[in-house]
Amino acid sequence: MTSRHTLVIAFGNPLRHDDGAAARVLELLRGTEGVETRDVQQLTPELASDIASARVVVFVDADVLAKTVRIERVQSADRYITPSALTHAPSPEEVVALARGLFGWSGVAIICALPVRDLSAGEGLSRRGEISARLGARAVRRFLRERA
Amino acid sequence: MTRLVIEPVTRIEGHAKITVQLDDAGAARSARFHVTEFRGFEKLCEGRPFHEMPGLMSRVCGICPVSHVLASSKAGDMLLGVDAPPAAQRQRRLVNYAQILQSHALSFFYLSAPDLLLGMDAPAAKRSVLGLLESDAGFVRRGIRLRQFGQRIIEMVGGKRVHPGWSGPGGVHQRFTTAHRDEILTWLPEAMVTVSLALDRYKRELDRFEDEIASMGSGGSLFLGTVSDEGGLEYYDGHIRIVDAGGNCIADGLDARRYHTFLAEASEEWSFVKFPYYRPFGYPQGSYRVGPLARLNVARFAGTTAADRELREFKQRSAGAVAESFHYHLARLIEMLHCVERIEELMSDRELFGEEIQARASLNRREGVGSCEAPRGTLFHHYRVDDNGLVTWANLLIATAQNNQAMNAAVDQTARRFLTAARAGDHDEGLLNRLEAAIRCYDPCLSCSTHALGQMPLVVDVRGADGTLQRRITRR
Repeated sequence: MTSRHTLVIAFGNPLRHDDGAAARVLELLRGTEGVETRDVQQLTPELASDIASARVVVFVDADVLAKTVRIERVQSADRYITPSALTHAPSPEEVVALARGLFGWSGVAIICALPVRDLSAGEGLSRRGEISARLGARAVRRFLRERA
Repeated sequence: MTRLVIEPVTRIEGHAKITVQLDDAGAARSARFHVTEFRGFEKLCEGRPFHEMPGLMSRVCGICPVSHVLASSKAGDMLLGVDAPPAAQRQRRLVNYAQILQSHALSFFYLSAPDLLLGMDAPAAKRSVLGLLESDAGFVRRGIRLRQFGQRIIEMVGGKRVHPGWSGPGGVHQRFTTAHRDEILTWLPEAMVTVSLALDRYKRELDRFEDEIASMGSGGSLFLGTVSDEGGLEYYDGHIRIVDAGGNCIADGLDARRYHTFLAEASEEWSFVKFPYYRPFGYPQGSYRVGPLARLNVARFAGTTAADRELREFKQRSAGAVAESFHYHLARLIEMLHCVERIEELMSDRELFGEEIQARASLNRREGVGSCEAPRGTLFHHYRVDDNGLVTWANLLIATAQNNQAMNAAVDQTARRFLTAARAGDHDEGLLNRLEAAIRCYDPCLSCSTHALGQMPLVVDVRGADGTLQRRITRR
């Protein structure tokens, strides 16, 4: 991939039903030109290095608080950095802050929130989770088209 | 009398708290390290087919899943009564080196470097890898890239960065290719430079920590680790050696598969983690340490050029064993150097590319034990199965548990040294951080990736003799 590509990072645990909705979005986006995908259980600081070579990064995450599929810019990260964030799972804001601070990254970061309800233990998406994933993939494609 | 509670302890993997009991004058009388989470993985294993165990055990931990996969696979090898083919064993070694590298990089660069390079008394808001970023972005960048290298090897060979399940009873599930080798070779020069720079820089900083080195877990204990048949540093196979604080060999040539004959576990009501000990010495006299410091103390040599040079220098720090737990950090850096050298060696090992990667057999034994050196120390998996290969009983002896007594001693010693009567009521960040830093020397991994949180606030409760809350300090 060149430095002009879009990196889509799905995070969540597919062994917790709809928490795997983000990974499903990646399946639906597979083969999209100019898009590199990464499926992770949780965000880690090393992703900053991957982000550094992308023009646009899209985080996809299942969100029990979301009412609809939502695409938002990742906010100015500096305000969100906490000293203990890197011991477990940093937020998208913190990973982006690392990419900017460490690698001078100046690209665009967005987050696509997928409304879900069922995060109980077990595999497979609920009907609502599957619909959210499909709408999420559509929303990401639309966003990328508009930016092209 | 008042009691000081630090809960949760930050910048470690898992959930724990520290309780410091103060005397009437406000000085530390005693301190304990409590592990407050309970997981019960051993019970979850019961009824599962043994060939599923490596995949299931991979889920024990998000930081060191490879160790659990390897110990479980080796227990499976024993149940089948086979040795994994040479190519599979090389792969397992490679991924274990990669895991130790990435885990040690996490411990040093992310968790401990802020204390070690910015100082124990730096403001809490700055004392993180993000604070380091402001002062030396290049150093942080190198640390992140180093961990990424280890994770990339795990991902390439094991299929996933976290919870890889490519290894199982009898071998591994995919071949190592020249494409894998070529990518690894592109990373190696940078990895070697990063580790060497970190090691040199850390050694220059060591003089600043004379007090901490002497006061944060410098007591005697036994040391236990795996060594090769020749007595060298070994992570995958070999036998167990135990040395005492004087560096004297207490036991050698112990068969890890018979660990239960020389190790036992004690329990304390105030912690969910048990207290393993060397059986002939009893509890607590037989308490021992494992992990990087122990491995360097039990090994006579490393077996690679740069690591051997560093190991010789390391051993000159003491006439006996290097007993100060603060030197876990230094030992970790030397091990990173060794792992990079071993990974480079393996890239030119033709056996790694072999086509035979799986030994096939049916169940031949009813009991299997597998062990390996995990980043934090020696790991044992022990299963019993029925005639259908279903697990009827499991015991996991985890590295962090084996350091439990030492961590408690370190917290106690640190509290007595730094929470003195003269500083009663002055429970400032530097003091609290030293208590946590004493634990961080061991890089304890108390749980796994099942956490659903990204922030770990520090809450300190100071309670009076009657148990009433007198003061609460919250760090976010």
